[in-house]
Amino acid sequence: MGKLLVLLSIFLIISCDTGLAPAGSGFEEPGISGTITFSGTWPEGVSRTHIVIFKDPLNSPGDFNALNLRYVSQEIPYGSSEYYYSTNDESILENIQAGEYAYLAVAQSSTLLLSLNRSDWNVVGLWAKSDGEPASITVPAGTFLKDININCNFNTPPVQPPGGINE
Amino acid sequence: MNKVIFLLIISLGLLYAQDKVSFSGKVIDNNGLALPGVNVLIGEKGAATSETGSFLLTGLNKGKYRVKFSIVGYEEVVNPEFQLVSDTVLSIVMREKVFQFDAVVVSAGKHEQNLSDLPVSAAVMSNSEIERKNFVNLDDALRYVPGVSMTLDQLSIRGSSGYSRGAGTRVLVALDGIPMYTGDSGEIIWEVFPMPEISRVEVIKGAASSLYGSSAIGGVVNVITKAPGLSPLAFIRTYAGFYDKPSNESWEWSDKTRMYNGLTVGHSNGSGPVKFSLSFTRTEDMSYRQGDWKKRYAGYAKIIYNINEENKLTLLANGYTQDKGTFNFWKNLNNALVPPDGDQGQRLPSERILTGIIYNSKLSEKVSLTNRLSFYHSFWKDGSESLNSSNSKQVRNDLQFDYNISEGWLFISGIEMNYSKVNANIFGINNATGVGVYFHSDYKLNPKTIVTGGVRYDYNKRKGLSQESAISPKLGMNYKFAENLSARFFFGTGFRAPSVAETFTSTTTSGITVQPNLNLKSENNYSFETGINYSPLNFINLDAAVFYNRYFDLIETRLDTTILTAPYIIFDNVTNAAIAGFDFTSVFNFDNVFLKTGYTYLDARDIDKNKALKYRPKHLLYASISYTYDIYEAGIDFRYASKVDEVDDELVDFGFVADGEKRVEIRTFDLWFSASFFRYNLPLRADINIYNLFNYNYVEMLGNVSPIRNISLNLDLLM
Repeated sequence: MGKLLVLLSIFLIISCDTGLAPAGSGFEEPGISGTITFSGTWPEGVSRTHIVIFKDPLNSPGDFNALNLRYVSQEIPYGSSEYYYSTNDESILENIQAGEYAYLAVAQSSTLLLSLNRSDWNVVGLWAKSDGEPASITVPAGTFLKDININCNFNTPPVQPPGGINE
Repeated sequence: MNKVIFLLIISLGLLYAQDKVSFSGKVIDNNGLALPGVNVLIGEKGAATSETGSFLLTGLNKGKYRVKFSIVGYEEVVNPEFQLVSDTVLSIVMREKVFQFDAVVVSAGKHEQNLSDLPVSAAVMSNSEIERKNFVNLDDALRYVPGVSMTLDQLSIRGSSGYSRGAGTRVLVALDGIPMYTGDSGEIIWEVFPMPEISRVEVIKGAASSLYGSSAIGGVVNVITKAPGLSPLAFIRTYAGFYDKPSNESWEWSDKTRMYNGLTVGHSNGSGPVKFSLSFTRTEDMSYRQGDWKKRYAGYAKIIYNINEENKLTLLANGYTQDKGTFNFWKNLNNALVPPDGDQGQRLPSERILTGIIYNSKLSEKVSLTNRLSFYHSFWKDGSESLNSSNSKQVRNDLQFDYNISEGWLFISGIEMNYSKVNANIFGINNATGVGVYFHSDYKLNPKTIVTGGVRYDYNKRKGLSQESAISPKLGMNYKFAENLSARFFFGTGFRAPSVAETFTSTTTSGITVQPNLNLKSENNYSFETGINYSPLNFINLDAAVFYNRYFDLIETRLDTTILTAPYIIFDNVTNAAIAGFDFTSVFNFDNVFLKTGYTYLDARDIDKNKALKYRPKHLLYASISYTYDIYEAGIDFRYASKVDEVDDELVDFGFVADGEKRVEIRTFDLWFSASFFRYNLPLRADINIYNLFNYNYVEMLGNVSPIRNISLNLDLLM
């Protein structure tokens, strides 16, 4: 009898979930948020700092392109020690859908205009694995990820993707 | 158990007193079809049923006998204390034994083999499973085979395919051994398979290009049609059903009940050397989605002419004409059962006709020949802004020799040729040619070991492009540790030549532009698996396998944004992939309870991008339980597929499919009831099916909600 009740309970629970539903019925807009912390001295000559998210890995300079780029935050004020971001807030480029993203970083540029030239950028913070290599991040459908925090230590910059300033 | 499942019906009683009496009757299967070759034993006397399922034993003394009816693949009917008091005529119904693993014969390897002797994982779906659940199209049925998944109409075995918008297939699907992909798009047209005429469906879960050439890169599905008998048989099969209201009220778009129905009328008969089956089918579906209606008329004919004992000719003709609306993607998640405004009212009429001639000849005691000649015509046109249409013809011939070198040693060789001609505004005026030569051998090394080897060379050419060739070897072994325990090993390779559609498509549909890619080359793979099969008790069968498939130059769609204001899609060799995983299936048959489960784990990775392949679920689970009481059966089927990690993001990012990223895991229950009245001499079977019992909403392909809860009644009448 007990087993039957458990089985019936499972059935009832399953029958309550009707899967996909219209917006506004429990689904969250997918996205990412977190806090960027900065330590060390801000480098001189930096004119803009942004959080950027790329869909596919940056295996070559060519991967640094507009199609692969899915998110560019508003400018992070020079000299900040902490900055909260949310991909659902106002941003320069916002195209975060549910799915896997290969590269999430904080990057700085010395150009006045927003450049899509890889060599104009220097990565100062990276969502990374324990070995320092870039870690991918998966945004499930209907889920908003929180606490995706990145620490930018200007004294120990992360691994740079190919095609940087010094290459 | 047999006393419960099977009933012996005495239809004629005592006629008059006499010393010697006769024992006669007819044996039919669960679907009312005559069963020839059944062993009938009454006491010490025996006989076999004729082609019409009839038997007659005379000169029997009155008294108490043990009566037994038996044939491989069916459950025995036994009455240990049968009272024979007069001339007696019986009607016997025998139930298919889906569980009998070692008795199931498959021919997907171009010759008949026991399922238990194969070196590669395989599954067989019987016609009773297909008819009981009233599958209208073959793809509906394949969703219930462990290890198989569908993304809309795209078939995938162990993650071989994602979704390619109807172009190409990585699983070769054949009808009685004749490959069934179209000459233009190279896709499988599921509506063309004659569901009421299917005897069984065989699924081979490994690369099989060494026998079948292009397209068998992910496996083979072979659909075997029923063999007509010598006695006249007419059948009417009809069904009617309706879709329930959507579980989300805001999705309701119609006040009308959305109905679907179908009718098949068939007849088979035989006289002397000729046997035939004919059937005509009409189906109609109003659909649960706006503009997704369809109406189809189909015809089927199979004529077998036994020229003499050594030579047999089979003519197969099968086709349909269909008119349907098109539903490419939803408008958005708030309007998930309605297409975008610009897509409304579009139609897609189509016609497909297959004609096949299969000639079997026994050239000598050891050598036999099979020639399969087929002609496949396909026509369709759509109502998109490009007014696309395509007319394609494909001729194919496969000449195969089987040589039984010695007991336990079979050698097969053959040559297969195909030519496709396409006349289409979307694919251009093009043609493609393919020639393949293959060799295959099964060698019984000792009573426990069967070694399989083979190789095929293929040459392919598309009009105006350079030729391509491929060599596809394979090696396998099946080893029986004991009667109930066997292991298998298989290494095979596969390749797939690009279809005319993937190479030459130039069109715009639903705002999406597709451009040709003349540099497209063949994709190829190798696959490895090892598995074990174990029956610890005679009512339990367990099977487990681990596999690894490596794919090179997979053809997938890619969004080209060289011109940012006018991005377009092309088919390209973009992916190198590895798919590793394991699957486990179990079958339990306790008296009247039948339980079947199949679980598959897939780790399908794009090696270049180190991310999941599109449209591949990590977990696939299928479970089914049924209970039989007298003439009644009831069951529940459960399907689960985990949420896919990756889909066509470009379609979402560039605004082609609003809310296209919205997806969930697949989790559906089906409930069915069936009653077979044949054993009460009523020529009727009735089935009630409730699909998607909990009205769960999910998508297989972005922007396409799968069928919501629907309920149908199916009646089969045999005369």
